[in-house]
Amino acid sequence: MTAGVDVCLIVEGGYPYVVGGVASWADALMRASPQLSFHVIAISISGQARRRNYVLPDNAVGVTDVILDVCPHGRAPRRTDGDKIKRILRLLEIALTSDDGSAFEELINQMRITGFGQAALLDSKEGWAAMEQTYARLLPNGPLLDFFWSWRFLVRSILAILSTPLPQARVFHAVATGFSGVVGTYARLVAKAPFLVTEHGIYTNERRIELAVAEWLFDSEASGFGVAAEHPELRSIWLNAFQSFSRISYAAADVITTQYRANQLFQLADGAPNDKLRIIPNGIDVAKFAAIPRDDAPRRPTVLMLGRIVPIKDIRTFIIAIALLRDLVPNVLAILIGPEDEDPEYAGGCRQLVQQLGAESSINFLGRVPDVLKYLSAVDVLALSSISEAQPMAILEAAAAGLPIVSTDVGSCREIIEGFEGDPVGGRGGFVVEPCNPKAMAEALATILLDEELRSQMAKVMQGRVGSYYHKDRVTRLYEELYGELMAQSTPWVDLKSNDQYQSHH
Amino acid sequence: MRPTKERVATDQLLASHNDQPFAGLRSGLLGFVFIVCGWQTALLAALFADRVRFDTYARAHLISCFALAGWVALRARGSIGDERNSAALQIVAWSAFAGPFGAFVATALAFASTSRSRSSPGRETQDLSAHRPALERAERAHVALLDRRIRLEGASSIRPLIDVIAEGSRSEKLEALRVVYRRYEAGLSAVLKRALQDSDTSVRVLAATVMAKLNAGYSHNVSDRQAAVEANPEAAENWQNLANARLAYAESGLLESQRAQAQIEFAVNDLSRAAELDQGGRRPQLFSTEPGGRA
Repeated sequence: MTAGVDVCLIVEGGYPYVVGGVASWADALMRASPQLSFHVIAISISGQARRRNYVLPDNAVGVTDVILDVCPHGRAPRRTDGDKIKRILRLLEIALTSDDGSAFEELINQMRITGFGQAALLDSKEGWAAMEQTYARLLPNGPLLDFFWSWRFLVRSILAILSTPLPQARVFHAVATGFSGVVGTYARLVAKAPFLVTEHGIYTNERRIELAVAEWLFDSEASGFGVAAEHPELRSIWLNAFQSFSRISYAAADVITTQYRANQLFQLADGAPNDKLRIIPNGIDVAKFAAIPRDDAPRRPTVLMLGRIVPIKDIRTFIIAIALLRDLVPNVLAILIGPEDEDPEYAGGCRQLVQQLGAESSINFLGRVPDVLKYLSAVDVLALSSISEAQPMAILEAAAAGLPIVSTDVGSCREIIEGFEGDPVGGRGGFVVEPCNPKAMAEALATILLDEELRSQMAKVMQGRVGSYYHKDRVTRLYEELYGELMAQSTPWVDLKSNDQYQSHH
Repeated sequence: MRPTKERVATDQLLASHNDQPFAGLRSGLLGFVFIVCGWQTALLAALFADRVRFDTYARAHLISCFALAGWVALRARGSIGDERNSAALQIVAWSAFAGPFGAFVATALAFASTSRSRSSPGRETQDLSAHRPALERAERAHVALLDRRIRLEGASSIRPLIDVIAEGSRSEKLEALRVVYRRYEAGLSAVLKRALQDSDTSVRVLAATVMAKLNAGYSHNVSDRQAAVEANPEAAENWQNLANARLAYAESGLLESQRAQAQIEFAVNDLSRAAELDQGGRRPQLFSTEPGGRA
């Protein structure tokens, strides 16, 4: 266990194992403040590969894994434990459905007193009876087997979280609500340390979208074409749990940050108190990207796409847009840079689509490349076709490098490209198009590629805006000030080993 | 699965059509009518012939009516909904008030009602059910819906999805998009396109996700069939399957007209190729009626 750090960063399903926007952000955050020490709590499931894709910075002193589907067995229940088990399971049900934080706090206390784990709460007769009652309340007439597995996973995840060996940290910083937020809340309540939540995308929104199109969830279709929630479905069990996690996190957090105003409206709607909300945008090393010399060698009009080849980036729309763009800019070349190993089937499908459209000569998949900067200097425009983003680093970096942008209208892309209220830099630095509209994207790309003056003008706007608002130094300063403010509230480190009776049971 | 309101209504309707309350009415009641009328007539004749006094007649009349009514009521408990029991009760009641004349009137009314029911419009469905026991429940419900004898309860409260996207709350819009994904057909593309322009980011994102997933599904189908064609280009069926996948994508409503047109043109070429192979006699499956060889 780490001796004591300034900040404990809590991340779910990403850093240091999975490459992605939030993982890169977490890495950059730690590297930007070398004077602060960090510890990382990485939340994952047992089926996820835990091969590190990031080299920890020097100031990150350790990583603690929380495996959600592996929880403590706990002590065996005695005959007299029936009421205690029922009480704890009732608290768990509230925590997983409609908690505002109070049931979760009581749950922590009860778990510390009783030392229960999976044996008492899931594998006992009382546990089974409680599960049946919960099933009757939450999913009457739904598929019991599906409910059983969902309930079991959710309860085990809470038990796993409540057995997290907490590092001694002056601030706990969860990079999302969800399971990260619940770990942070646990730390806030047990270690009495200040708790900060940063949301890039809104967790409940993202989960709702995933659940709406999830193929693994049974759906009775009893509602037909009706949209009134008259018939509880399995997905509502999951969605309620995620919403409850958000409320628990918001209630416990001292400060809640996000990168742009639109996200704050979602946070408020999900129950975040207004006085805890702050905006801190993403920041990049503007000087590094601005210093890239432009490659003026003659070349084909070139479009760059930076990102993982995964469905959420909607690479298919980009490919179709390029196929359409060939009618307007016949010799156009599109370069896709990004790893293909996260969803190989999707990546294979994208390559097939290129063949299907006969666009092999216009689209190059380069995979992961060692030096992205080289490509930023030798293209004419950056395109982003994502269907969900927060504040994409790829756009900020390309903008700093002096590239105009064509992006879908997601996350804060519009305010980066077109400006925002109080923006010191006027004008647009590219075009924002609606998602899943390859024709609109092709037309926007053609407009930029065919007008050199417009391209240059947009590049200047982008560089100016990124330099003034999304500068790494400014953003680092904002986070350091916030950490300082929270550390000033923190009490001396609590000796968790001697205080945590629940952990001592395992 | 829990039965829906519509299903309950349908069940009730079908159950009532499946009962055959009048089939044995004549034969079952006839004996009863003879007994009641015979007894009432004999009692009245005895009164007119001064064989019995009026108070004796009245007691015997009332006791016999109560006894008959009690017997019929006991039978009715064991067979709820049997029209014969209610007809028998009517006959007893009428005869209690008007002696044998009342029994005759009630009997006439009961048989008249039977005749009307036999010639009513529902009779057609009843016969259909009786003579075709294997007829599927859904088919019978379908027939009942078509001739407007039942209505889907609550159907009017289900708003069109496009209205939900235009005017609904955020959670309703998201739910509507989930329904669109689960039950997609070309007519629902307008809902998706409207949702892509919604002012709420989360609605736009879900609409885009749904659209991307649907596009991926159709596109995947085309790619799979293309791979099959590449693996065995001499099979006419492969070309035909490819054409079908392209046509399905073109008709999905997900493509703008130019791309849909391109898919149709590709499909025409694929079909031509399939026809060439078919005419060459190498693969006779084109236009066959076997599964997988849709014409």
